[in-house]
Amino acid sequence: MLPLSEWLVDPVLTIALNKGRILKSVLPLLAKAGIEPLENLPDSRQLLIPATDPNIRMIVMRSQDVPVFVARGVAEIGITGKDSLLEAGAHVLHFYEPVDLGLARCRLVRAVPANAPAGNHAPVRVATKYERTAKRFYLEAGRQAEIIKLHGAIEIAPLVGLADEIIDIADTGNTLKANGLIEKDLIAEISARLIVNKAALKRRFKRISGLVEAIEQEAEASGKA
Amino acid sequence: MKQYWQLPDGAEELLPPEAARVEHLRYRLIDLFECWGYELVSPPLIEFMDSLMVGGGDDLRLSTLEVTDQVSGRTLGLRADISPQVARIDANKLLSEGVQRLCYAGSALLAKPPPSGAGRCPLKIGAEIYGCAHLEADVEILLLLTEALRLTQAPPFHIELGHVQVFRRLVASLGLAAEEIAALFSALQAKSASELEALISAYKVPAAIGNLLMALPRLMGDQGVLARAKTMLANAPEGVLSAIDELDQIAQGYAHRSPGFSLSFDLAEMQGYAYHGGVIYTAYADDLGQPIAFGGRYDGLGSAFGRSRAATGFDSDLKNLARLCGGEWPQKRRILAPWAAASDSASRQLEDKIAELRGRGDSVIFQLPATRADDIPFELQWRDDAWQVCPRS
Repeated sequence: MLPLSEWLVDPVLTIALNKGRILKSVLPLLAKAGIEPLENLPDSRQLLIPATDPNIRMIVMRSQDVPVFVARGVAEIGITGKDSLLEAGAHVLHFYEPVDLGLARCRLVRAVPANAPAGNHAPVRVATKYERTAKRFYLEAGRQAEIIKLHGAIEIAPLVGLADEIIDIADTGNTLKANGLIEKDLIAEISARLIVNKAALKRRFKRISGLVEAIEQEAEASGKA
Repeated sequence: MKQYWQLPDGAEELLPPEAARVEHLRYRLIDLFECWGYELVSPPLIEFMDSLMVGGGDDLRLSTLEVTDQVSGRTLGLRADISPQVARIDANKLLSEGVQRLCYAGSALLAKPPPSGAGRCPLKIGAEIYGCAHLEADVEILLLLTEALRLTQAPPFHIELGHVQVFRRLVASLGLAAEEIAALFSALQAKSASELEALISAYKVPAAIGNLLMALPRLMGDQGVLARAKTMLANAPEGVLSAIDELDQIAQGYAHRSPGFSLSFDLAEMQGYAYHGGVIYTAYADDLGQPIAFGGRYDGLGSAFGRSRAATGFDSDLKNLARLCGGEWPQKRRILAPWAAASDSASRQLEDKIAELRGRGDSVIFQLPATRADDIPFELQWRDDAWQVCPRS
């Protein structure tokens, strides 16, 4: 049995990133912390990308897959939106969420048609991408709800009569307004979060906590509110 | 075609050679426990739900599959954990006044497949000490856990300690509702500074305690953490510092007897918070995203079964351990034997030879009519008026 310090010398560390909006704002931050992909990530067709540091590689994936990769330990570190973490269910038991990067800020809201009659407490049909979060929200609100899981164009559901209201991400609120919806409840403030597999942090404490701290410092420096 | 072959989600079954590997490991671990003076018990797969739930929180209830007993009409649970049953045995059946060391190995069942991807039917193996409230019992359990993990020849591993009283004592004085404490607990388990900060402000936690809670997620690492914690938590409510002292003493006792192998610490880690009351242990192996063994102190659980007893122990999933297991187990030599011989005398000698080889631990396999057995490397051949084991060409 080697002492702890000796076997903490490392194999490759994998960082799971979600593609799209978050990726664009996160890459400059990672670069400042010394983590740079060897390829131009947003354009690359490659999904497993080596970094300039040979001991780091990156995987780009859908946001909701990031918690799965990190929970199962195939990626040690992940960066994704808080909305995906809220949806991650029991996976959250297997990762830490130490840093709020303060990037890609938006809100998860409940929105209803502007012309909806003032509500009684009748069961409600809700269109959303966020099935678990929505179920939890209506449960806590003490309201019976039928959750209709959609994968996009959520805002249209009330317009065409598919749902009575929606739970979705709002940034400026313009998309809601354009579809005749008004925001009723703020469910959660969303921003990009850094997550770390629990077991990995313990096993490779110095390496991973060093990286996490470097990223955190850059996030704070770049004006996290 | 009906899908009769299908198994429920997470119901994994073991095939050769994994099943043999698991069985071999089970035997060796139980043997190890017995060499340390732990006696084997084998509680039943089902019990009354109420008994299984003693000491467990909501998590245990949600993990336990319930069925109705057609005899009593009461609800039965299929155990998701074995150690509460062993605590029941100690408190209610064995009635030893002194120290009781028990071990066990058996199947448990989880109501839902765990997100870790591990199966729903873990084969739990564990060891418990009852009747000793001293830290030496925790040190002994940690040494035994170390020995057990060494025996599996798992990849490099380490054991981390935490203490549930650190958090409990910090929040005890705040007068918070159970849900509020649960929310702080989850934020702490996620080491989410932003969430923790938001809750501390929402619940108007006084700065003196709030700052200490905020410090907890970073109090992890080697033994140096304990010294840092003692300084940072110097003004913490009663019980916090003595919890850290306990960790310190356990670490020293352990280091003394297990040189070259050190423990690590995480003061925000509270695996099994509902069940445990003191120090908790978690073992991690390299290359694995989830812990491989858990344990801790759970004094007083036995009171529900009639006797309050000091208790500490650990358990692990044998299937998981066997997957990590680096060591090979002794393989039997596989020898093909003819079903019958040409003469009566050769037949009698064949029977004797087969009995002799099997008695020595070889695997002797009859060649059944009209079958091939290409994967068997040896066979019995009649040479010089005797049966001899020869390599097959």
